[in-house]
Amino acid sequence: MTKETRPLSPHLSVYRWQVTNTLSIIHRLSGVTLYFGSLLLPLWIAAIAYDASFGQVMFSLISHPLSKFPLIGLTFAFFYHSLNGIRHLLWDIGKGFEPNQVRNSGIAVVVMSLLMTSIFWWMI
Amino acid sequence: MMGVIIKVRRLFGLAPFEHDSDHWKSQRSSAIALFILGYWFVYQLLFFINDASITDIQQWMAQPLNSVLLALTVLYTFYHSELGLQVITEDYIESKSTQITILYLVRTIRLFVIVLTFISLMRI
Repeated sequence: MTKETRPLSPHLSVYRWQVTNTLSIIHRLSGVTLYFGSLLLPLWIAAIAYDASFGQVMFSLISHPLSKFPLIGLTFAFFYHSLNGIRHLLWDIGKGFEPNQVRNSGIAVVVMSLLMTSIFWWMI
Repeated sequence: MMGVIIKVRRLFGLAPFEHDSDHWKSQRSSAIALFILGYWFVYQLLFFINDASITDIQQWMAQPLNSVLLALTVLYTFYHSELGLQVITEDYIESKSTQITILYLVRTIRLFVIVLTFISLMRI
């Protein structure tokens, strides 16, 4: 295969770390996390539909204390990615682009998603 | 009419990989759909699934509205994920052939997951 001559996106190491690019990379990381976590959803649906005993096994796996940390990470990824997604959609329609707005909305998203993750685990 | 058909094919993973403005628009529209479906599922998790027995969940899943929304959640989750993973592989993976391998792997998993979800929901 011939080597592509198109440029590759600049790699993470060339940037100075600040709020904006950190949150941007967390958006991607949380997206990838959610992808792997989402694979649980169809497996769970199949377990419930096909075999209650397998469903039970999945239940005990999910409710095992050791599963708690990855699941907390997954819920944080969900809240972060969905809230930060609103930020991205607002930028797409040209809103919130001033440097201080970008920074403040980013901090708001982090605070909100931490809060929502805590409330979720407090309620469940 | 053609517009609707291609959109449905894309949602089910039965259309070619999207690029440029098609990709851009689909990523945004699937994000909005998934935002609504995702929070619907979180709501169900907190207020129903959380302390329901397997039989309760089976009955919940058998209700037409819930099974349709669950199916849509799976469809949009893996549609939106594929669009996102496509951007990430294009940005960070240099070799075109590795990119294509990853994309086909993601597509294969996606089709498998969709079939699994649909046969499960139709069985219940």
